[in-house]
Amino acid sequence: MAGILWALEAALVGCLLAWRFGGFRDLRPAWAAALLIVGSGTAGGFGITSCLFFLCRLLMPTEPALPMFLEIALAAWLAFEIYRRRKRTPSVQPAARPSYGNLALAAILIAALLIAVAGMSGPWKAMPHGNWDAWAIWNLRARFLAAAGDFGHRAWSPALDFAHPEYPLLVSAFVARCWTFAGSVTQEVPQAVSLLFFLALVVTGVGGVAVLRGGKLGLLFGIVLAGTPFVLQEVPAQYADIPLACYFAAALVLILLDRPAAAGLFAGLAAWTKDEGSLFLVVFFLALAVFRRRNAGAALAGVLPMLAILLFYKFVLARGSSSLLAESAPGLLARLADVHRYGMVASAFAGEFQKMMVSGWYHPLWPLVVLAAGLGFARKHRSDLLLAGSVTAAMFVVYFFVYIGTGRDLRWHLNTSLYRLLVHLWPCLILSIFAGLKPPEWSVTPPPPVAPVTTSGAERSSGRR
Amino acid sequence: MRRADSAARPAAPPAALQLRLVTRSQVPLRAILAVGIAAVLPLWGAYSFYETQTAHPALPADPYQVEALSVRLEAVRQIVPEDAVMGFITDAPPTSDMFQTWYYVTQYALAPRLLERGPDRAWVLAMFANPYALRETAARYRLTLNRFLGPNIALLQNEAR
Repeated sequence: MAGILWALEAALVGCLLAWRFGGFRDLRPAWAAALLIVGSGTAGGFGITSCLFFLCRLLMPTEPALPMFLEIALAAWLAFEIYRRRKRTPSVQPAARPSYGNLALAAILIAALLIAVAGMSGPWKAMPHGNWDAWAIWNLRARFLAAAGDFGHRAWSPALDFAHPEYPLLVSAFVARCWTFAGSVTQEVPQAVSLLFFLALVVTGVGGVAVLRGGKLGLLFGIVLAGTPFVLQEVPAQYADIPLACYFAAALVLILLDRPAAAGLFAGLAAWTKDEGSLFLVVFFLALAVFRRRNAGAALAGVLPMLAILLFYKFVLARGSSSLLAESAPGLLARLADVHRYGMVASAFAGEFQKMMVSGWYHPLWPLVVLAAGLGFARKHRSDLLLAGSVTAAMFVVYFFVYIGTGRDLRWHLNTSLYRLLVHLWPCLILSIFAGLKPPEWSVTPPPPVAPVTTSGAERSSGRR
Repeated sequence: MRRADSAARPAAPPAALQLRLVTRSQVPLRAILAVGIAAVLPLWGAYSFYETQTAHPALPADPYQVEALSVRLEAVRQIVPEDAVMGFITDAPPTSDMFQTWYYVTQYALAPRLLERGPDRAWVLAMFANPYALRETAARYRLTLNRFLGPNIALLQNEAR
């Protein structure tokens, strides 16, 4: 339990940072801004405190409590800073009451999340240590980082060739941080971390879409995500795929909200979570260079700290370990020219999309199709749709070609990883579609002149959505 | 000017009520249906996940014996120092699933101790499907038994190291 409390403390640090530096407080509706602070703050707090723990473990391995004191000091300073600023500039805008439609959608979202979390209790009980990769890779490396003494370097020892010592360490270091601060290694921590990352993903998406496209679409984003069985299945597995999906989606949400530095930070956190995050980082910056050049500088500033840690890890600490890239280099051209492989990978992608269907009729794409048909896409949102959609589509293409070029056994590689890669991209796909949709509120035509409907300034600015 | 205009008209209902009336009457049925269907459909997805995970779980409890082996190896954690690099020997073929499962689970259960394949360490963990083969192998490598941890697992010591 203490470990979970320390995870929540990291979320608190992140929320305070998001409140103070995220620039979310002016966004409307106010409840969506609050969700953005909580969602991005939780995911960001986990990432930042994980990095702090990793750096302290690296530089001062005999002082396990050092990052804890630094975090507490940071949280105290942020809380004081926020209190001081709020005293100086009291809020003048009263929060608007959400509409009945939004309340109904929020109730459905909560119900969907409760059903989903209740479903996770089965795997948590059956496999408390998580699925194969959880204990063979992520939680194993967390145990090395959490052990008292100078054992952190064993997390990237070449002797652990089966545990991919070259993989980035965000998730393992965060779990290790919670175990170290709590003074005990318990399975509740990685379980809770995975769940909290999923909730942060939902909450960030709901808040971001609500600010962008109104409350109803925001809440629908959360409902669609919470009703996607193949994503839910990955939460109790305790892999790094849900955290990665969370960082992908958060980076896209924040760039759509014109918060490039924060978006860059989250893209960097994705790269420090899994190797696929590095691919995302490249794609993300290419998309910025094409569609949002003015944001590229600030985004680069946001990503630099994470990039420094990642490069130091890859090229200094774990330099002796083999990587998929190095393994795939010999014979790459021959594999790229092999038409048979293209057919195999394409049919595997199609097969995974088909496997997403449950009960023989429900596919997570149906709600998106219904919304696209019922609401339509707005020409005004084309640039957002292009930006988010191009990143998502490019990632699909990149993943496709990773399989074409892989030096490992292709069938085995597809069977063991493709469904997880789709988990990374599913929230981005939903987000891209929602970014282009016409909000249902837009269907309201201007009021008749006899009984004019005017909302107060506060309501208008808070977007009674 | 606006104030004077509105004063001439009958009092309008409160703003909140007005917004609701307009929303009800003027949002096209198609949009209302789309939002309603898109809100309710995913509940089936969530329920379906719940049902498959609780009523028909895909895997049995502890399929890789992680929990069970962790309990059995607790004694090793008490005996072998944390900074040790341990050897690992088994009669399972190195490319088999059994070898992978045993080796990886043992490494997980014994971390932060490192595990290396082979008998060339002061502490060696032996996992054998055939207990007789365990004794023979231990004798061949001149390993002495520290303790048995069940019928097919033993902690051995290499006195030469």
